[in-house]
Amino acid sequence: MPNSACSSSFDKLPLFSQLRARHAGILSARHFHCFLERKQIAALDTSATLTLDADHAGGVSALAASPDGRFLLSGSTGSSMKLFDLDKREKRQHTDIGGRRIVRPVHQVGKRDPRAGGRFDRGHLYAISSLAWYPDGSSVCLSAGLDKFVKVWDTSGMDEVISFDLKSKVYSIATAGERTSGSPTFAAALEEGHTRLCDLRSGNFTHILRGHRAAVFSVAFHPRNGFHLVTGSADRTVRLWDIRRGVQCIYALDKHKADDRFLRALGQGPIGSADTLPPQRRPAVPKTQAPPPVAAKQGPQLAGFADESDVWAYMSRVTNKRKRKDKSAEREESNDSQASSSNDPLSRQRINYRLNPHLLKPQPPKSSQSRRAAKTPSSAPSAPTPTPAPPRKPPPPKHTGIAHDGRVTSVRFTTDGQYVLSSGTDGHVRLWDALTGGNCFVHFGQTKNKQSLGTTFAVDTFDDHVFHGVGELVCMFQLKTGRVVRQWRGHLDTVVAVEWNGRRKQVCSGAKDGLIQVFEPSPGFLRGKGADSGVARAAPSVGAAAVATSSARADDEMSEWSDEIW
Amino acid sequence: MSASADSGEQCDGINDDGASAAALASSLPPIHPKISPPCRTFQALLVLRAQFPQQCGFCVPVLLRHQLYAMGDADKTQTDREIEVMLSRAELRQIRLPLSEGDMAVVFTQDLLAAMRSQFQAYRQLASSPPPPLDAASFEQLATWLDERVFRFHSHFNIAKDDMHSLLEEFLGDAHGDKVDAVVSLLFRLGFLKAVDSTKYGWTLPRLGAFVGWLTKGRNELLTRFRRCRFKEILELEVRQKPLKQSQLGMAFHIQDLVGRGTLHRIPTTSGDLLRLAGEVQNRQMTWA
Repeated sequence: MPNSACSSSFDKLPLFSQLRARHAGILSARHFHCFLERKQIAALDTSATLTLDADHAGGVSALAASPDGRFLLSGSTGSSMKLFDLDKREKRQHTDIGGRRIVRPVHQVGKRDPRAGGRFDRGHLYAISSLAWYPDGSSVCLSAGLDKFVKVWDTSGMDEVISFDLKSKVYSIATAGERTSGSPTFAAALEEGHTRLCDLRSGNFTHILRGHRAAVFSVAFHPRNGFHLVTGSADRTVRLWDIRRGVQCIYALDKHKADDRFLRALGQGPIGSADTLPPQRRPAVPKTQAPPPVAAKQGPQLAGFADESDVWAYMSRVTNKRKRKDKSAEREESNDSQASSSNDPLSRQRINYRLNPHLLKPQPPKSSQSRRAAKTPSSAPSAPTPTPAPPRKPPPPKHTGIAHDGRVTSVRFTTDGQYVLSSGTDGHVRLWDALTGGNCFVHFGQTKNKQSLGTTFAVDTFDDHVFHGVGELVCMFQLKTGRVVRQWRGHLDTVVAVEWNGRRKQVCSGAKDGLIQVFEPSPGFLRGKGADSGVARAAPSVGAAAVATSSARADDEMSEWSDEIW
Repeated sequence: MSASADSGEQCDGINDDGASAAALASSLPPIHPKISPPCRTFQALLVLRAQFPQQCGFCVPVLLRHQLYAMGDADKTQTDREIEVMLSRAELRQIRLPLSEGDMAVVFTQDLLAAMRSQFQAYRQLASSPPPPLDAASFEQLATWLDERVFRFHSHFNIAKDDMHSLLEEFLGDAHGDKVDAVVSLLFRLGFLKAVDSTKYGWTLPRLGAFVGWLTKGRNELLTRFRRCRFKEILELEVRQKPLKQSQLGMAFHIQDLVGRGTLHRIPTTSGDLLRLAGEVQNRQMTWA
């Protein structure tokens, strides 16, 4: 079961018993907090108090919530980007109308920006395809556009810091911070079928991942190990990569390949393996992986800066400024905010995270790699550095199967990194085991996904629920069973992007109609009121007519969890 | 078997412990679950197998994988998993239909082997065909060997050419000579193997083309009936009264197919199940009607 560390035997007790257990010290603060968060997630509903004034011309194409949950960035097919500050502190941007807070963007970039004087020098020329935040802090964000550029923004003034020309349409970007990959990195999924990795510190491209035969629509980093990536492409494949290997992907996920471990867990594995082989033995893996030494600094040429150290000094200055600001703000908020940095259960949450033994084998000697990197002549950002040769030739990938019967529009890891989720234009969402590359056969129903470009969907903090757009609805699926727990109307056109804001327990969804909807825990969630009260169970089929906003009771749902497979 | 009896049995059959399903399947040889305990999906498969129209002249009762989703209140995840288990246990074989949607047909391995044997008999009696490389006894051995050594370990609907050849060499022993190619071409002539690309064979069924033709034409015909209605909905009993002209597969098969695919919704009403076309057209009609 994903994140089993956060579930306790008290989970099924009512709130009052939980409080008493917490008071008596039987229940740890972390467990109690997880219980409350789960309650909140179970009570998600259309927000009655918050409206985002996102008047995007041409439909929302990307959404990204900042790591600290304070900001929401939205991009549109009309090349505009808007930054929302969800905090109430920014009085200027918030209007209160009858208890409903309307949030206007703090910054706008793009065609309709009056400060640009109608010119396009700020922002992208064409549609924005993807947005990402630099994972450590909320001061730097990245945007990718169909104008073949990836731009790095300083969010305090929404100023462009660096711009990368990738010479090919960028459909998706993902970022990995220093904690996970050793150096700030972003990966860009390109139309030409490659995925490029770029070191933000040096501004050089470090890797090209080749293997897809058509445009790559989606890329995602492993949440805890920045060396592992997953990409989804228009050639119907989903590939898992270890960038230390450099040459080939580890798996191309095959939808017909069942996950052996899940079959074995059912007690019914394939003949010859289930009965005779011992259960798979996993090597003991240290919980935290030592980050590799920081790569030697190089001398790139960056737009608007004399040299690279200048850029980095600027970036760190900006980061520190923001951090200082945030800390003071947090001190103010720490009374009511459960998620302050010292008491945050997520950061201390022990996760039973398995590292893939196959992935870890070919580790290149790091010192030689950095030396080689240092030797390469400094070049323009577009010129890729040659990929480091692997120590030995990896075996060819065993499975070159297809993952979907259509284009794969979105891929991502679950929050704990043990599973991969992919969504394709065949209308299926599939759950894969990241360790074995096997299909877990969770049937999420038809999602009516007909996008010609990438989409995004979201998974909640505990990996219990998946939020995915189904036509004009936003649906909340149970991750383990694929059952529809809840579905929300509100959009007038196809939902393209869904984002989960873990700190605020919010789901934001953007659609082609240019609106951004916010879904929040209904205010009376602890008293059992709000979304849960007296509403029938959600209809099993998503497309069934006359489906009202309905829900399953949170308690029922919790008691239905079974650990037999997970 | 009347149409209304079908629908009644189909709901009961899943919940019982297989008794009514077995009664339905009386005209077919019974299928015993090999290893896995009989699960809900297994019962559903038996019901669908019994419903398969034998008068259509197709050699094997073929089911479509998504038909199972329309059985009662099937949990789709559970259904998928149970099918995967049965596939890995070689109780079932999956066969890919040559349709753009990538639909999967499901056949019981027992049925498949029985069909192989009967096709071989028919092939031997056919005077015009070239003499088979195997006599009846060794073909029986081949069928048993396929069951035990090939299907159990290669549950995929394709098999690599190299794998197939090395397996056949193993079966034929040291003195295989040219027989490997001869056996492969025999399986081709019988209609159970086809070439997918230069490296792969695919498992198939004799006259699968006719089956796919019936399937697509029947789907179209049935959907046309729905599109012609004003509200795109017909009672299931009414649909069943008028048989399909272009398909031999029977109305029950097609309704199950379309409901399982999600093209039709089955809505319970007081006067029986109502079938309604899925999609936006329906909603738009309702607004002005």
